[in-house]
Amino acid sequence: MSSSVEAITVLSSDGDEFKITVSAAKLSKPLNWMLEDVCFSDDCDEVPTIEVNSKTLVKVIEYCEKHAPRANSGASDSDAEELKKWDIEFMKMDVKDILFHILMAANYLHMEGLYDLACQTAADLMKGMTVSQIRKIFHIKNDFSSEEQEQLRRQHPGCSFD
Amino acid sequence: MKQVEMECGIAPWIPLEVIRSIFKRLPVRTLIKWQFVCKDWKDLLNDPSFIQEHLQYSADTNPSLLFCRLTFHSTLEFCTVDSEMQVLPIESLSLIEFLRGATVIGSINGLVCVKSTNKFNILVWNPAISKFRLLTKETNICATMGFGFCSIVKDYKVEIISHHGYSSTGLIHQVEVYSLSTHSWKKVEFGRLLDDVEISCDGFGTNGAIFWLGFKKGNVHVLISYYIATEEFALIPTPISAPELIDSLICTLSVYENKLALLSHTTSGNFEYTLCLWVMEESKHNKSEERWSWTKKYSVKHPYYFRPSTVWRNMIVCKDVEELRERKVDKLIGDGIVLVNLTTDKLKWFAVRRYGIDFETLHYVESLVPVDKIHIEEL
Repeated sequence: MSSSVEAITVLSSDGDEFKITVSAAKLSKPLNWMLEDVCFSDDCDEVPTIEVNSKTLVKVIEYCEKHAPRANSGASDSDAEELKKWDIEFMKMDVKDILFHILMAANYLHMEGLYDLACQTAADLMKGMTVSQIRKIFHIKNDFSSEEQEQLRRQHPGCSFD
Repeated sequence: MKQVEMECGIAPWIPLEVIRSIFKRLPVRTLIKWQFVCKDWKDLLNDPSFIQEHLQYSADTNPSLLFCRLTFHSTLEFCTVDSEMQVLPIESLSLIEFLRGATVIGSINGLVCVKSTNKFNILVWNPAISKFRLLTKETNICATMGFGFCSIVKDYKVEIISHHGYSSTGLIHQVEVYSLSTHSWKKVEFGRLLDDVEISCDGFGTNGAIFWLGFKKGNVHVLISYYIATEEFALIPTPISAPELIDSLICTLSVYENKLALLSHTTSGNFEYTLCLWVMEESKHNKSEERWSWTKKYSVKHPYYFRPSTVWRNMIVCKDVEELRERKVDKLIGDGIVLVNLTTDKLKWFAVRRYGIDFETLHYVESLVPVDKIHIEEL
């Protein structure tokens, strides 16, 4: 890899091109390996594909670019505080529409910080949901027989199937 | 993404490991409710490896304090204090008969062990999932108990050390252990090790063992340990050796940095008290008496008399603070604890509940750990 390269181009699973700076890409282990393996200098026109859709990849890259300077240099307390606030704003998104895609992208790209953040956000959003709300969001069918429901109800008197 | 996990029935488009990572961050009351979603979720929430993962995460991120209060009606009441100092009452109405005059023995992995004083009953209770197991055992009044867990044998044990009069060498002890996995009691052989030992309090379970504080002949302060996996006892010297300290000693066991900790409160007179935190380490290779070593991690002198109770986060939790009340150090209402910050030495008063006869604080973590394995199979 040429040291002059500051940004690389990657393809999303939808085939769109995205630019990501080298320092931001380093937040992901698989991307980091890609940087080491693939030639990104000007005479190489191979563009690696990341199996994440465009909508999600935009958000992932946004997160990487924001966190990269701190991750590389170490953050001061005030920086960390500001970044925390930024994370909260960044995570204000729809659960089903995008949050779970980000979660899975972070899992796939081995990005610990984003993964933990997305898991915590999902947990906070789901915490107050009823059983039927959960079933709706996750497209889950109630597969208990009526006897099993009755048994569960007896074991947990305070809970319900709705 | 791993295909195998993608194909699992739990929300087919989300890998199981992602679901687990979210679930481990959720409170027990939410997870109990979600068992009703579908069979796959119920199976996951009852899976021992998930229960362990959830427990570990909760212990690391939100170690709570269990506050057990004896009310004026002599009933034991419980509440928890979380890392944000939020006080949450624990529902125990269904156990009210049992909890009259009861004493707390210990708290491990979300299970609380309580003994009743009127009857010969012992309760192993997980308040978070509202499940308990009641054990019946006849013991004499001088019995001391202990509650422990060992990850090697993956079992919880309730241990009773009782004595039956004196012989020429001292007290005659009898030790019986209950296993939560086999549902049975058994006698433990220990030779003559405990012959001249007097145990002064109920045991404290941690790191695969149960520990008691006591005295050997000649007023020598000792720690008695029972290793759950090997079923062996050992007598361990404590760092409190000076006889003049023993007269004023208040001592209790806790955990600090995942090691057994000893909290001591002593005085040299003149209203000057010393609060110390000791940590014990055990060398695996050495088999001699010197295999145990104590390190003083913290020590502070102050003019107040209070009883150290446990270590919680970076604080020593103390109780019995009449001195503080009398001196009107703070606006004190009802039961409270004093938190001694290990980093800053600062004292902080924290009121938990209004008035009671006595209270006890233990560390606690909410968990899904079942008290009855049969219960899981039934589900």
